[in-house]
Amino acid sequence: MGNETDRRGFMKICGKTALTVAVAGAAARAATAPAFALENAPRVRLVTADGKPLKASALPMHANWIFHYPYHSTPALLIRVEDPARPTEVEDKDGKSYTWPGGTGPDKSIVAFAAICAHALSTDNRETSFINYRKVRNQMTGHGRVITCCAHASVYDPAAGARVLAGPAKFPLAAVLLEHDPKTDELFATGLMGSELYGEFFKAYRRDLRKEFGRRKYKTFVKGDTIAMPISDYSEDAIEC
Amino acid sequence: MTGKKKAAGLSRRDAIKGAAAGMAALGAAATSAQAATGKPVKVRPPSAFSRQAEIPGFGGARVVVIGGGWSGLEAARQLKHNKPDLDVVLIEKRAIFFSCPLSNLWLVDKLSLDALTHSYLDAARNNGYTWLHAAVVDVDRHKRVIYTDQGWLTYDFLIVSPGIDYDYSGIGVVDPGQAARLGSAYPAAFKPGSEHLSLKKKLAEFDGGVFLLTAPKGNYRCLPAPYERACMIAGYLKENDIDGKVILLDAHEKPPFYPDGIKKAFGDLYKNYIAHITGVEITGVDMGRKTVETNQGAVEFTDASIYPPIRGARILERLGIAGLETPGMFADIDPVSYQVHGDERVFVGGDARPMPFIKAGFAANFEAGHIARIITGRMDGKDAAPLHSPGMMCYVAVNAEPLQSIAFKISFGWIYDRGSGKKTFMQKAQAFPKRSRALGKANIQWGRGMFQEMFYSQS
Repeated sequence: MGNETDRRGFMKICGKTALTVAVAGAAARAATAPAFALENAPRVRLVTADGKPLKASALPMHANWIFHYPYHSTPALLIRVEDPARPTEVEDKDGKSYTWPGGTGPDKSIVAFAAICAHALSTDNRETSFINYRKVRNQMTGHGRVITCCAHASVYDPAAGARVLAGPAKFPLAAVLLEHDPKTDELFATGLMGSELYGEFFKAYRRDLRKEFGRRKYKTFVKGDTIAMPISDYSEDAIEC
Repeated sequence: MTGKKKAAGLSRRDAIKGAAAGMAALGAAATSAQAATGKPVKVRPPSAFSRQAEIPGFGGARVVVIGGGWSGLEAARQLKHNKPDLDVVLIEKRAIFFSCPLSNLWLVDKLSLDALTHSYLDAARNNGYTWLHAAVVDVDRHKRVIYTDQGWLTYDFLIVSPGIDYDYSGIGVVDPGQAARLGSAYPAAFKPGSEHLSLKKKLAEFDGGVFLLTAPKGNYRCLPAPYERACMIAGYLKENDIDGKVILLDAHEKPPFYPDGIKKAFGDLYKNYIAHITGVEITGVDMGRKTVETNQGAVEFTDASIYPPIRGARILERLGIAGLETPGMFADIDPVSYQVHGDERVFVGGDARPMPFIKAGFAANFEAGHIARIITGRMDGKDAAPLHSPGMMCYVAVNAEPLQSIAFKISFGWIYDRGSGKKTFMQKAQAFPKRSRALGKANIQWGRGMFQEMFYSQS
């Protein structure tokens, strides 16, 4: 119990520090309160499939990777964009603005977002990935270096807080907050910002999620480490559109 | 006589109820509190409908939506989303929702019936509006009272989304009795429910010969659907080794929606299974001889699904809002404001609209959000910008096994034309003609997402 409290206290501090570092620059300019999407979101380390820590510098440029966060069953995209991603002010589903803290890592180019389309919840699973990042200009939308949901052609800008560039979506994907440890080059997911849709997501896919992740596990927070891997390794069919 | 008797027998309670309704109807977007101070006006409903519909009261302004298709469902949802205090009532006579979009996949067992059918109870509960399971009989637009087989109710604003009916006179079947027999024997299956179930049964029983399909003239519901259906049925024949073929009689010389992807599928997947004949004008159907008479000669068939031209749903006439002088008798509305000419409280959306853009689920769905914004905007004294859609996906399945689709991105709306200085209507379609399994999967996910939104989301 004492141990648990300590850990939680530690996490809180870590979270706070990360946040301060991440948004300090933006906060100086815009006084928008960060819109944390979940309370007590876990702090977890990103590891590769073999369990070794994922080094930020090892994440390839234009990576279209996946990891599960904050729940065991909820996918998030891990992307490395070409240029440093600056803090960006965006609006959530209620029109409330928040400042996305920008990219993380040595070149401030690593970003992460919930892989749940803000339009109609299309997502990425073992069988098919509907929502993907691509460097190349995709056929369906004419955009390159964007996150595209291939079901209804919503397009999001990963370098700008996943703001909507085109299509029927009305608000950005929820952002996963990342933290980089410059000493070890490790990456941590520490929280969420923006409009989280997990309640709706669970409702829509509960049957599949229970089957794939376990009947209780699917709705519990990840702890410790979470595995990140290229979507092409995770999903049988990472569809291009 | 009976009518008089009943009217005289109206109880005091009914009279009070009636009076309250009359006030709400007359008050300009009045709340019931305001209405209670006004002078009662007696509503005299037809005797058979003298009962007030049993729906929960909200007390605020009420918007009623007639018709729970892709337009009406989304209008009700968006109204509630824009103004959570609004009393929104969706009137739909069907007991369950049955989707026309995606139904061609279900027809050949590539999708379960579960994927197409959904509950109005879920849609209403999750989105906070009321579903009145009733058939509209009449509307008194002067007093703003709707009469249904479950009783009457009043409205402050009304959206009518009744969809389409078939116009069998367009294929030479003028006699209404004959048209009804034809619709029963060879249903078009573009008004979902029993027509679709019948068509699927026909396929299951089909043991060879000619399965006839038709694509009518005009801006018919779901332009690519007859081609998609031809592909799916041909695929079914091929897969099940049935010695038959699809003959598709196409009213268009140059079909408005026949891009390379469909042409290619017809050619390299179904060469011996589909005969696509263009420029066919059907002049009559001989049901006894199972023959369609056309300008290119008679065509015999073993079984058929005959899609005649469409028209605005007949209830538009009953409500006095049909464009009687216009082709198809679609709704008589202003194409920008969606408002019925001469009635600022009534709007029409969905496939009953007269505008030239595509009559398809996704379009009706997007447009419904726009109409909802017009109405809630008006309540707040704000004007909505003219309709302009984002690029929206439209999928067409061309191969059943494995499922492969092609896609279109379609956008429509009013754009400013520099030349004339006026706003003009435009529709743009970009084709993705290369069939793929990825687009096939996206095709199914597209539907899942749309149903998720209309029925299950709470945002």
